[in-house]
Amino acid sequence: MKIPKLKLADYINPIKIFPALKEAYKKAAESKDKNFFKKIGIFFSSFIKEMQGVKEEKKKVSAETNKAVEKGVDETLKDVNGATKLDKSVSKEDEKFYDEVRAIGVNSFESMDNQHQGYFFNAFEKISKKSGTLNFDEVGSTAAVGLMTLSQLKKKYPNKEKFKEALKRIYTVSDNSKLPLKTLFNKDVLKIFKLNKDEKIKFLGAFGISVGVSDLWGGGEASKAKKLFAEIGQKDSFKENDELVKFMKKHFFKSSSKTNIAKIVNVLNDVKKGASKITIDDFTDIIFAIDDKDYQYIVKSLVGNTNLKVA
Amino acid sequence: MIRNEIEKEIKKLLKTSTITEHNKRMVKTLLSVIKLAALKKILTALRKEDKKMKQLSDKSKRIKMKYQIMVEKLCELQLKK
Repeated sequence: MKIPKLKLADYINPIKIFPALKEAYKKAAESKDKNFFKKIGIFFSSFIKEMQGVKEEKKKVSAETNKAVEKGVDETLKDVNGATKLDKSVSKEDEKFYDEVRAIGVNSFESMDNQHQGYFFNAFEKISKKSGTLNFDEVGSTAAVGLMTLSQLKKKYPNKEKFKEALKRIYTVSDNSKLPLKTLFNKDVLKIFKLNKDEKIKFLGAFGISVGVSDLWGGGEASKAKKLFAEIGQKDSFKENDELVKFMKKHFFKSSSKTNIAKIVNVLNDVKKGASKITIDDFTDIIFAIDDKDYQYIVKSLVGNTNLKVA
Repeated sequence: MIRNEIEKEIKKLLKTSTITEHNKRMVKTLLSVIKLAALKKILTALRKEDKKMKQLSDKSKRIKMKYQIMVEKLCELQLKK
């Protein structure tokens, strides 16, 4: 018997799978042959049963593979926790203090979805090795973990001087970890965070600044952002009525005062002008200049919803 | 097998794999940082999946063929009546 060549979609059409079926059905109906319909019925139900069995087996294989892959992914993500542990002996008090702060950091990291945890891990590796460049997702996830951690730390130390003391202590104690905090304040490491053109567009997009037709002749918000950000490092200082400050207020620091935003911009201005690192004092000023509500807004813009209440 | 080759094969297998889109994205994102031992385990799992899925596809083709022949035969008999 010649078996017709069938396409996948043909299998849902019994007449097409079994060309003689139409005629046989007709003949059986004419002669009222119930036996034929019974036999066909048996064939089809056992066919469906067997195909269902294959489907179940496929499901099982898929589940087993998912499980094996998830295990490999989880093992990798757990490494972040281990990599930030202290690797040299420090005083018990310092160790306890560091572990408390680290727990806040790990908690912030774990509050993101797995996808963003993955991006953070990639960034973490690049920063540890001081090589490569980060893409928007990696910068966004790293910034989000940093901001969530700092926001929680700010809650723990609401007094600016106490906060600064705590930050200095972490700065010193983290020298004994695989990723000393001072690494992050270094200008060379900060270069890793420099985004290329496409990634910059994604970054702006996260804050509602999209590239539109008007940007073709420099009239859009993205062009404005490019022009204003280029001013950082070019001026002596920024004041609250400067366009850049107003722009940042509109898109990034919606709840922070313009005076505070000017402070933040001035720190960035000094770094761009040639300071080799951001000092703890400058950094503390930035942290306290950002309104609590803005921490939440920025984190949500960068990585979406998290399981941690930021502000 | 060197790391580059493993990563290349994983990427290839992910195209046809039936694992969730989320897991596919996670593997692609973490590919360069997953430790070699874990990477090898992922490759083994994906290879195994690929092999079993191909076997199951063949099995379903055989089932379809078997029933096709049986029903055709039954129809032929009916038409001869």
